Amino acid sequence: MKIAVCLKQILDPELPSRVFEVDEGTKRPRYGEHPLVINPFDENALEMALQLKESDASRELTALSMGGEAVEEVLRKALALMLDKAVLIKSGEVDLDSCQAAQLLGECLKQTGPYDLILFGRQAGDWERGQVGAMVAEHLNMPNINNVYKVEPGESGEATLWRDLDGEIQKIKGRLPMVVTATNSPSNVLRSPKVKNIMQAYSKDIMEVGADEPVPGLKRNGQAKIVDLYKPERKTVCEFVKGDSAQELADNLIKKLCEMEPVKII
Amino acid sequence: MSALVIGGFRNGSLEPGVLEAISGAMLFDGEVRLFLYTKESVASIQERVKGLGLKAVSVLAVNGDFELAWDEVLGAIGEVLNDAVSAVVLPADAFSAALSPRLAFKLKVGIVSDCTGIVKEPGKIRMLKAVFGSKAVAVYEMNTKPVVLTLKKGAFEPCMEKESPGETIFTMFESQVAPAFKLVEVRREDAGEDKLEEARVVVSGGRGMGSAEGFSQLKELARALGASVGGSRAAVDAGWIGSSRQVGLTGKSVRAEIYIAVGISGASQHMAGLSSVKKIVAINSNPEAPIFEAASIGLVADYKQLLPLMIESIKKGAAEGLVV
Repeated sequence: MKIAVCLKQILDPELPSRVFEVDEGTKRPRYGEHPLVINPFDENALEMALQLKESDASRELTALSMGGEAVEEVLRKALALMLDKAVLIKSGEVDLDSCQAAQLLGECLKQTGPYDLILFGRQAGDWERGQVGAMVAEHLNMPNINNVYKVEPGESGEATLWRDLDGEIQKIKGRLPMVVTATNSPSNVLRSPKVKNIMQAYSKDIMEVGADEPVPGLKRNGQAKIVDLYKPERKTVCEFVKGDSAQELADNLIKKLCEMEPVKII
Repeated sequence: MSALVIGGFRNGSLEPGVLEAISGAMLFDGEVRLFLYTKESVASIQERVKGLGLKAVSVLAVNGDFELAWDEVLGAIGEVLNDAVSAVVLPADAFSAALSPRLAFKLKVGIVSDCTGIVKEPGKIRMLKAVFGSKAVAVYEMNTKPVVLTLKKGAFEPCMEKESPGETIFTMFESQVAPAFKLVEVRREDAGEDKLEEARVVVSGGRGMGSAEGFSQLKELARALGASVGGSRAAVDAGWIGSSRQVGLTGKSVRAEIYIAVGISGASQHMAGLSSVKKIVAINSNPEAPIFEAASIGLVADYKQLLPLMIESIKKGAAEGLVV
């Protein structure tokens, strides 16, 4: 059984709003020296894949990541977590929309597959689109399902999936191959790699695809064109509660809460 | 010109967000058509939607589970799409998140998910959407026909019944597609709990709570105040609180009058769920935490000392008038 995990490298979502800047020329964020991380929902997908490998070592895990040279770091981390293969899809510096990204990724999945299970995060914390997973499913003519936190492949190509829709837990059956997008749960928080494996990951191979030639048919340009990007205004001024002791702080805060308009909740 | 709304109908009513999607679709000039997937009778649908001023309602009788019918809807889309359709509008929910990207990809057209606004300008329509965990707003322009849009919950007013709605044409057809997935079991993790989205006061904790014991103090404060309990994604991932209580971009949006955030740094992902909150009260030991930029009232302290004292004072009646 072959499992693919698609990992997107994004600007750290924990980056405070006050240091987030928009480049006025390109209408894109200014990346500068800000940290880049694996999209948090993709980490959940990665953990789900690792658990599948734990329950059956014959399952082969491949990590794929698309972008410029910086995404190598993402793949090194995947290798440090003992994934079997890593594929770097070179899309260059071109700003791909979801359709283009899905085509390029879909073609690379064909080239390195076929896979029984393709895992994504449910959406990425940069453009917040949540589109590429479902589009890849359409490109590969596979069924897709979202908000999944656990997958259990069963006998003869069946799989059981657990979905979480804001507290509604659904248990579902489907047939492989399929595209699954992951949501977060306490059961799929990504583990940390072992130090020894981090070192070894640097000597492992990363397969590079899509280096020179654009994918045939990758012509759907500018369908969802971003013409502006701006930071919303904030108007709040914080009033800090003071006090000389913890007791005084607690009492002053409660006093403040009671005075708050328009509250007066009776 | 026309716009097409895709939505579900179950238990005698339209799924949440469908009326908002109709309002959004009406911003595109021309008639609005509705494509409903359901397992219920056309008669009950007719009764519900006849006053909305729709040109046509096409009803797809799904074979499999209502919740998992996106393959069936996609398979039937040819029945309702034609060259006159300039926009396909859906509510932004998990169903649409599974369906709409496939639809846009299949049709080779542009898509904007989670729209917060549709702005009409001479000769063009622009879509707004929160990006980078709500740290920025992106403005999209489309050059395809149709465009596919999903509308963020609460961003548009629901469509009201019209005084003279005119005649609506109803058609019904059967799904020809075998569903790919089957629902085996459903349970609600939050059965019997209060509704976080409707709470007037919410006490919420994040990574800074540090432990399950810390979080139980927070729950005690909430009980003393008669408030609902929420948490950030970090608190959910740590297992301190169930996923139904997650507040943020990919969790719930709350509309509380007071939102008391304890040990929450204020990552924009979390703040995205607070856009309708009237006042944020932040308790954090780090005076540099971004949460203070959005808070009306702040308190720099270790919650471990503060919360027990607050609970005690409230129990003694210090918060009379505040407690529900």
